[in-house]
Amino acid sequence: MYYNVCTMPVEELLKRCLRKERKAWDEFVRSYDNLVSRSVRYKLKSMNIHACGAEIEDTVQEIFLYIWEKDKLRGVSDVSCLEGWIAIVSFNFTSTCHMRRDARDIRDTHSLEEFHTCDDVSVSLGEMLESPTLNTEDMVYTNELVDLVENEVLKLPVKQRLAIKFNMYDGKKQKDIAEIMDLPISHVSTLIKRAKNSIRKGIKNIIDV
Amino acid sequence: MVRKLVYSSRGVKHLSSEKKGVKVHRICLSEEVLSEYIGGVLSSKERDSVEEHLSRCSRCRKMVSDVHTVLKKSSAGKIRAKLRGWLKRNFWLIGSFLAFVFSFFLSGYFFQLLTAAALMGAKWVFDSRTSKTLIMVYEAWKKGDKEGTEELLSRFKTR
Ligand SMILES: [Zn+2]
Repeated sequence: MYYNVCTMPVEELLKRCLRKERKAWDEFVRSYDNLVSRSVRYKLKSMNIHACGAEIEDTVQEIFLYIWEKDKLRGVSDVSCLEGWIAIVSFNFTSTCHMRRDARDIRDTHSLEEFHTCDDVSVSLGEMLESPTLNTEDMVYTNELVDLVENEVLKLPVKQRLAIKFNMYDGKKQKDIAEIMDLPISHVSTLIKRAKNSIRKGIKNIIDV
Repeated sequence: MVRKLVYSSRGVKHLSSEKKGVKVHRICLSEEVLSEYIGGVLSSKERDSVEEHLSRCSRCRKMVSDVHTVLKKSSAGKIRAKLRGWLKRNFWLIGSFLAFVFSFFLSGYFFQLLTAAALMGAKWVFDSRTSKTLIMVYEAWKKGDKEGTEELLSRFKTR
């Protein structure tokens, strides 16, 4: 198992890879193989795709080949961005690759006639819309409330809006948000508190009116 | 709807829509810009502009958040791997130290444990990469291989 075990400085490694030096490229692959593999696994998991080890290994190899052939490393402006860039490229490649594969599978396995046979299964609209917890009135109320919150969030200053979206929409912890936004945790905590207060005030004003 | 382009020259990727019911055509951030944001190399003005986009685009936000998670896990893995590597490299040294310490507590086996400590210590010295490199440097120098010696020495210095 390797975790970025370059024997030469990353800047030098990048330069040599751009010059298409085989030895440097081998070292690059060895150093970042684990990161690419981890990114592929993470993406597949988030897409609810179960893939075996060999499939993941194939995707990892394809990603390195793609970076090599398309000379993608030219897009890396700074060494400190390299790991993030590799993860992004791996995510994008994995999702594109699997979307293409899925489309091909559907085309290969289903004929047009097969789709028609689906009519045989009769499901009533009531069954499809059945919800044990929410009735229509509740749903309308919830939707209206969601819209109200959305509007209030849009009125927030950028930093507050981003912090609250990471926190409330994406479920990120304050520590993680602070790392992403490159701010102290106390600052992030203040941003979130202020944003929540503004949203609460805005909704209260509208409901009162 | 005002079209706002973030890094229009480098950011052509896909369309995204977050506001319900309204089709918002926004050009998303490119792989390069996103990685520069994560790497913290953008100027404060560029950062603000990227954050403006992130605060409205769930797709790019998810990307940033996913990359952060993967890199965080990866750095934890790096620490574990470093620790594993250190333990592997210093296995004989640890053994030697333990044998030396136990030799005082188990007085019946004092000399045996002391010998074991000395043997393991010697094994660690001859197994360590530094000694191996120095032996290789010496052998290359003895053979008169000037280029090989220099390469080995430079490798030794950069470690
Ligand atoms: Zn976007």
